[in-house]
Amino acid sequence: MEYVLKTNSLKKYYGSYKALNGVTMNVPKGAIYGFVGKNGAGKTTLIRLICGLQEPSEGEYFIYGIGNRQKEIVKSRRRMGAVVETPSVYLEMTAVDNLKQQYRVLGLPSFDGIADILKLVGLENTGRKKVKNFSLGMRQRLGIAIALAGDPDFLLLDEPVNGLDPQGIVEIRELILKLNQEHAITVLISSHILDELSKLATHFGFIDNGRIIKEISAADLESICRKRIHLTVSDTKVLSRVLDECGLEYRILSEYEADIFGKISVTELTLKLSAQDCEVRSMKECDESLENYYINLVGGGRNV
Amino acid sequence: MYKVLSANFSRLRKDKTFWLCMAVMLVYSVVYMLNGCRQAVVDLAEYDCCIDEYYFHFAILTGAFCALFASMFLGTEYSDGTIRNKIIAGHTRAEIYIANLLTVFSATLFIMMVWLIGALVGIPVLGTWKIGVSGLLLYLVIAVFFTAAFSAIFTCLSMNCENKAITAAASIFLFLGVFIFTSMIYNALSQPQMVSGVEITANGMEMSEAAPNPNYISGTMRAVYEFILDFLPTGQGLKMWQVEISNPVRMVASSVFITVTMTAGGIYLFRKKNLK
Repeated sequence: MEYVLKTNSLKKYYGSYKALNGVTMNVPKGAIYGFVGKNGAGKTTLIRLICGLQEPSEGEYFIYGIGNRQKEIVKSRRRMGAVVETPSVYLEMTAVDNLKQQYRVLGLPSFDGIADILKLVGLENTGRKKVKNFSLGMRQRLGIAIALAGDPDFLLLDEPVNGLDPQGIVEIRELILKLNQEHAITVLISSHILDELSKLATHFGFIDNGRIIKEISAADLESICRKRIHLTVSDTKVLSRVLDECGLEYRILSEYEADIFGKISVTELTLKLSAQDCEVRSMKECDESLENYYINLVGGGRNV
Repeated sequence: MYKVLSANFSRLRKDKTFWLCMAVMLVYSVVYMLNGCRQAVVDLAEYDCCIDEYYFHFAILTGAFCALFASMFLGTEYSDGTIRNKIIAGHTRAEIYIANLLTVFSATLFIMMVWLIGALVGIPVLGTWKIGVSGLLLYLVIAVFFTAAFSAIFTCLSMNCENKAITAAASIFLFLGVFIFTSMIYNALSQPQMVSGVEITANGMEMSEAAPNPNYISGTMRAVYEFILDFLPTGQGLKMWQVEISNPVRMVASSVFITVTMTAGGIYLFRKKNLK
């Protein structure tokens, strides 16, 4: 698999405080990588390091295979765009002027693409309105537009829906999906709004106390979080025979434990198992959400 | 670096602080020179006043405008967060720093030029420069160099402090502090070597015999004081205002030294800086 970003035991200290404590993560090309962690877990610090705003204390990272200690890292950063915390926009300028400014910074020869970018983010009708008079959602979209100047292949978005109203959240979500699916842009999106991330991400990285505690694809996560019935029986061989007869999807976990997916008639199943001398010792319905999964992962009891 | 410089100049064209500084300087230059003309004709008619005594007043103002402009213009990069765009776009910190320094230097030169042009309004009454064209050019070269020194100092401050308000206040106070310090040194050096008092005698008021002035700075201390005046850009400005330039080479060398050391130190600190 080709990776856009790889980090290797990345550490960042502020004095004695360890903001990152050995982060190792991999962002596959074409993914929407949901970077999940509570406030202060180290999400923004990692993004700052990747963007070159800060230097790592230890460890290394690679953007498109170029290490942060190599001089060429500056060139590989030209393939990425980022919105770190708040959108980086001149408040006294219009949306068009802000984009022109970024085009100049990038050394692009003409301003031809500006209208298309503004249309893409839904800011084509802002005219001479200055950014200081924009709503939070509009500023966020302009921040993304500036990050898109220069046609990046990799977009880093740090908490892009923070403080937005429901309509704004939907707009940003649709924009990110559009960028990923229609423009083939790999997106790393950090958030602590798990519900929102679950609608977007193809991969997840969970960070806690400056460490990646789990990386998982959305497909694998979905199978873990699927609605299921967890059974403990005296013999799973009998159980699997009965379930095959019923045409139910299941997963044998051990000699005595199994998960059954889909709807079942408890009475019917119990009678069929009893008829074959298989005892049902316990039965529990499980319906784990991304939130529950995360809470279990970080030890539970704490707010994300 | 050219790309960042191009972006900076494009922003400069629309920058309110820059145009405000230009407008204030223009109005001030005209008003100051017209007042100078009035003084020369009415109050000081018996003296042979010339344009030199008024024309170089800009030299003590340049630093203040530079402090204000640098802190506001570069502070916006931090307050609006746009400095991040330049780094993410793949520009090195040294490139960004030097481009910002050149922008501040150019803007301060533009503000200075506005004075030089506006102050020409005094020529019909005060005439042309007594120091001659070569003298005028020498003064302008010194002014360009101390402008570079001011730009280096305030760019260093603005690039290494993320709070725009603190940067603006610190820059202005630094300028005022150094200016007051150099004024005190200038005043100390201006003390006459001998003083004579007034005595009231039976014949009326008479001048007493001249005696050594205890406040007169002499010897090594005088050389140190003179060096400080020539070294600091505010001191150079003060001497230029008074048309008392005596050590042009030392002044230019000092400005080059300040510019180079402040820029090298500023880039070093900026490269180490954790940006948010």
